[in-house]
Amino acid sequence: MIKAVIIFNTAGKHRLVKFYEEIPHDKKNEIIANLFKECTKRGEYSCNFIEESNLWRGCKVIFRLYATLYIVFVVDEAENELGILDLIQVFVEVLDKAFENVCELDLVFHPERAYALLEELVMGGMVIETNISEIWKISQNMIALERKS
Amino acid sequence: MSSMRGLTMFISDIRNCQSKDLEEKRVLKEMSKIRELFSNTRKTLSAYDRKKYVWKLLYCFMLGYDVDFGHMEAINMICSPRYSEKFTGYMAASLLLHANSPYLEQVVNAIRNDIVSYDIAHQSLALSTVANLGGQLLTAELSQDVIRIIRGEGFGLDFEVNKKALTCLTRLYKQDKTIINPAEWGGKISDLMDTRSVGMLLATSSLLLEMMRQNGYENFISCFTKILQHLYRLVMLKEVSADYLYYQTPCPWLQIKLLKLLQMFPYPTEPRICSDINEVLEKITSQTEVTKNVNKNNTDHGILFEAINLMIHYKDNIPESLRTQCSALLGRFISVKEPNIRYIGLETMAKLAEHPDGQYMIERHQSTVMISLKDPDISIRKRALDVLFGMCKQSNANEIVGELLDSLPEAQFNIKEDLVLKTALLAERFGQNLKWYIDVIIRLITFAGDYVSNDIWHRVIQVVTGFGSSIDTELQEYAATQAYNALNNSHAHEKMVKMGSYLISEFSQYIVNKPDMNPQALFEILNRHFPVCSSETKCMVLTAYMKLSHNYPDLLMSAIPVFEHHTMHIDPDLQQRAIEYYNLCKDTYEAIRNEVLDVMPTFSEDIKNQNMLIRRMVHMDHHTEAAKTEKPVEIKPNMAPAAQIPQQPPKPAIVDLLEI
Repeated sequence: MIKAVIIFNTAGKHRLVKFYEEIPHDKKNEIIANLFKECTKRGEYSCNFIEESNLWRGCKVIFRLYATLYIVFVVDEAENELGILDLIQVFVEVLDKAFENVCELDLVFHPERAYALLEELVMGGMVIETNISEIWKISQNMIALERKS
Repeated sequence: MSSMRGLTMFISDIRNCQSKDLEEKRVLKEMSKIRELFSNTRKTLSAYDRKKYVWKLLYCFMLGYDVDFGHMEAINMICSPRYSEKFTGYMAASLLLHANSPYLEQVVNAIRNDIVSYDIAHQSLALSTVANLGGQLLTAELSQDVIRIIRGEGFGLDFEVNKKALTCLTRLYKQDKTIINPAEWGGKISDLMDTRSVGMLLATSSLLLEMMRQNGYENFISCFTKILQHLYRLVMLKEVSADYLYYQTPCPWLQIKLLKLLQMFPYPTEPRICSDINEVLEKITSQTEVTKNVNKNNTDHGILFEAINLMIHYKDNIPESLRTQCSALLGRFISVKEPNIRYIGLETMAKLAEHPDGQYMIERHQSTVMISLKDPDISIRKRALDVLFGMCKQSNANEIVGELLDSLPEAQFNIKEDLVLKTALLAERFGQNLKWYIDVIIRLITFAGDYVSNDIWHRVIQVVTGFGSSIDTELQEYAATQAYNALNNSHAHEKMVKMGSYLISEFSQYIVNKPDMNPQALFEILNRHFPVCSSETKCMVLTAYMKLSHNYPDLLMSAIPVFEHHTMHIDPDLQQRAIEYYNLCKDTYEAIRNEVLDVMPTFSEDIKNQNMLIRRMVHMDHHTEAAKTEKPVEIKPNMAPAAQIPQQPPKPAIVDLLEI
């Protein structure tokens, strides 16, 4: 199960924070701060997986760095690590399609859209759709609905 | 979502803040403004404004500020008939609230109305939020409505909604295993698997996986052939719409899920089905190549590793050729440059090493694994350590433990504790003889004393003292000699002083007659390190002095001044110990002295098999945080009371008699 999806930039500013498990507010901030510390420590040729049991017991951190953004998934041992790496790529491609060449500023100014797109990809900690054009289609429908109302 | 000017302005304000303090000031100002607006009952906010303010709150929340108000205003938007407001309400619910929030009760009916509505968009929103939140209340109130959608009662033929309903049900099922009955749902899920829609299959697989984890495979046998058919279709025939091709691979996530599902079933008995499985596995193992494209690499290897997991699950049911290929592939992966694949390769190997019949597949890669033990990447090193630990046995223990010891001085602090613990365990379990084990532990203490837990040297004491009726005097002599040699340096680690003080004083009779050794030398070697030790260690050294001077009364001249000096020590434990021993030296207590300082009995046979290091390792895996501050594992009550390692004053009952 996916426990959390978090995006922060290389300076540690949160860009998207979504937890799929109940966690007290203070603890969330602490987790994100630790994730940031661990991610930035990784070298260029290191693998994209971090196991630091102090970070989140029984969970593995899988992250990818895109330009200025770290996209971080925290998952339990039932997930396939490389599959999650793919999923991160799909998420970025979806964002890219929705924002037309996504950059950090798009996420900064349109958090609601980023959250809506994530909702179509991951739901309750489980992957529901991986087809980029399908997600794109749904999000277009949503925008149409939005305009109508 | 069409842009909200106010929100955009607020966000750029925050972006322009030069410092964290200014940002906080700006956020708090905005929050107090919103709080005021929400609590103002005279003037009602327009729907647009409300939406804007809720998003501002969500934005602050995302930045890490605690938002402890406005929850009700936010989630009440769920009741709005307009999509954009409903969306905002649901977003606020899944981000701000937790599953047991009292506010949820107020909107649970509105959520139900959306779930049973005929509007796909509203259904989707409601189902997503219920899945994200989970929790008892929502499970109890809404699971039946969700099930009704899946059963196709009422309106529910849309794939989009069905898929979300299934995922939602999976989440609720995790919360409460009684909401669906496996016997009844086995057939239902099997029917659902007839679909060709990838999204539906993915959602159904998640539910099936969750139910099989809980109930075993018996109720779901009818799904087996369907799982295999779908997998066959994807792998062999690549039958999937172009949209689901991800870097030319047909829906990798579904393939992975299906392979995971197959791991829940035993190897089939029907030859035709077996040959299908073998064919699929063959195809996956032979078609995967390491390419330049990172994403293509990830995708294909993700599937391949899941296939290898399935092969591990099937053990020797699959043809020998496949297993050889699998072993060769693993060997290749752990030597590639691409770190992710190397990491997973090692992880898979560690899994294989746990199986007795998987060991032979990895043995020949031992030297390659050892290279990874020195990788700069900590994640990879940890995995390599796991593999080596798993594959260690009598025949290669010398080599592996030697390698682990060599890597110790360069290892980073966050892996050292694990490394030390595993080395100690392997040395005891697979060592040619126990003398070698003693040497390894002494080297561990020398190289990484700070990371050697008390359990490790306690275990040495247990092993040297002996279990049951078996006493190995040769080992005792060896251990005491080695301890003496290790302490015969200008500097020794404190753990070494602890262990040495016990070994030397307890087994002094074996070494005292050696050339260049005499009771005074034993005393001196401990006394050399005594001044720089902590109080805890000093207590132990005092006990050693007491034992030595009991055996060699000449030493009393040297020991008594030390005891006397510490009778005024500021540390209460040390002071008590010093006063006790100081008095114990008096002639009046000779009888008690003989009893207190008698030779320690051996440990019971039970202790031999209950290695506390193993317990500690299991413990560490689960609670690394706790393990660091935890006291050493308590000594079992069934152990002879006098056999305690002298951490506490020996025989407290007698100590009290001294009336001090």
